[in-house]
Amino acid sequence: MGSPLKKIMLCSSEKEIFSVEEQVMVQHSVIINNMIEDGSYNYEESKIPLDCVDSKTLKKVIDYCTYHTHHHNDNQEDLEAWDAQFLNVDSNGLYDLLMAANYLEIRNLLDLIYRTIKNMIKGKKIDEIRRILNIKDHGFTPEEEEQNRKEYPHFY
Amino acid sequence: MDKHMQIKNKEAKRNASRGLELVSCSRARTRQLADLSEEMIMEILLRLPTRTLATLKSVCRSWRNLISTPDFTRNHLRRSCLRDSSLTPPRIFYCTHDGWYGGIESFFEPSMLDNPSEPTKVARFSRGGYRIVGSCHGLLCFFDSDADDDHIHAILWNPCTGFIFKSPQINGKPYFSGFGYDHLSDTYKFYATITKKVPSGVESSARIYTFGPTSSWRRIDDTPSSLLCPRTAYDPCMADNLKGVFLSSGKACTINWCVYDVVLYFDLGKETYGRFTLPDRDLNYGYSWTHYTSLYVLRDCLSVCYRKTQRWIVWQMKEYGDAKSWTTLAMIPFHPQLYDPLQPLYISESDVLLVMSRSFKLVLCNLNDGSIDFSLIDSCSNGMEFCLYLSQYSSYRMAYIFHETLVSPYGLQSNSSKMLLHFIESKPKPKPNLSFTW
Repeated sequence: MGSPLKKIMLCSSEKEIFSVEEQVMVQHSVIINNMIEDGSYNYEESKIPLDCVDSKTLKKVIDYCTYHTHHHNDNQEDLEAWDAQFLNVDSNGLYDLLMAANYLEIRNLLDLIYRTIKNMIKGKKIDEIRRILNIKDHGFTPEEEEQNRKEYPHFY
Repeated sequence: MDKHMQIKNKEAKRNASRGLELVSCSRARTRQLADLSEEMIMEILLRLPTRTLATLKSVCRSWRNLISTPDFTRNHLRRSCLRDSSLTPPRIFYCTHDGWYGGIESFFEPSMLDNPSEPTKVARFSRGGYRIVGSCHGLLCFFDSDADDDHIHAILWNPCTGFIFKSPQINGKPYFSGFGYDHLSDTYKFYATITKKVPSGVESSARIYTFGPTSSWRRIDDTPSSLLCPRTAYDPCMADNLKGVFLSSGKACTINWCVYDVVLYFDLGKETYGRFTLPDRDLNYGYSWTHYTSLYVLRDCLSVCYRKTQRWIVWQMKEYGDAKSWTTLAMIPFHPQLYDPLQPLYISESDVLLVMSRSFKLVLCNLNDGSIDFSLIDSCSNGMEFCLYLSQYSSYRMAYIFHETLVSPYGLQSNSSKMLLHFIESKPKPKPNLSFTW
């Protein structure tokens, strides 16, 4: 566990540098925790390059980790409200966040995003789900698709 | 995200933990949710209820393939058992038989807990002739029983997916029976002691059928004589105990029967028998105990319910097989309408015990404050001609808690399309006909 005062540098795909409290990232990101623990991070000169995370997404990820580090004692309702507000982004933004959380192995953020996508799907008709997830090619033959529609008309 | 990218991503992570020379990972071109990796899609789908997943099979072929894999099915089952019971809220299946009319019906429990005064609607699946033997992992097992025929088939049905499989027939009549999952071989097994007429009289043997594409009925030796010889075949109270109770404990998967004063069990993995005693009872109470003791499973523990003077006591075996671990779980205060044997079915997360009483339908006992509610079962709607079900005195142990799953036994294909039943009812018609003909 890193000292709360130390800062580490993260570098986005646009080569923008973000300076973050070490503890904030260590607590949330498995991959950064490993990096600090095995001593491969040099506080004097290292910048952790995150080539697949753009600045906008990285800033969001840091916001998430910072908030959850400092507010982990808040009541569940407040945290959930904050999370809901935090994930009020378009689907491209959600995709970017998911990729970043997956890459940095931020488990609680991953879980939150998976749950959010789950809720986007739950209770929806198939045509709607295809639209939401932008599934253009469903991969069924026209006969199969017709058969499905005939068998379960109320799903569509 | 394609496989190539996943590998790259993994590589990048490895490098990241080794040094700081992160390999640049290419960004997905479209940044759309349609590009999620199979792993991620799985993470999302695993969080959805079984019923929804059955629908989502029609979204696209890759989802259909994913949802149909045994791995996914197993993960989802594990998740719904261990982490999130809302993924498969319990239904109650029951089988009624009064000599003339019988059938398999089902209703949904949460609606009843939320609002006991609202009649709970029942869906009906079959007419007479089928007896439920047991249920686990979202599968219901029955045998068909026809008074004229001297043979049976074991039938396995997943009401959520429509999967149905019928075993080869075996000659004779079943006496003790049971159904369960064997974790050692990852198979589902039907057990029955079968009595058949032979020139010299009748012959009884214990048989087991492992659901599988090439399985046959095997004989089990060293069966305790009390399971083999029908003493009082028409004793309705004994009949209550003929269907064994399946229990999966950390140690073993077993089918349990209460035979007089002991519990006899059959270990589905080792295929051996064992026994242990019931909790102490007050024999001063009027009823003969042979008549009114049945086994149940509550919160994954074997349970038994006794009547003791002014109340019903529900016992629970904390450590399976250890007779010293029988513990009182609940006391149900005496109520004028609760004079019949009670069948505890299920305890909700909010500590409401759902009990079936033979004469008075369903009872909701709140274990926290001792209050009792009687729930209405609306078995007359849905175009059913008789409303005697459930309220009818039934001579058979009948209600089963059931959690929907997508499970079908490994390597098994539905083999009986003419019996195909589907749980997911099609769009309500003006006058739905739910009495399927098999």
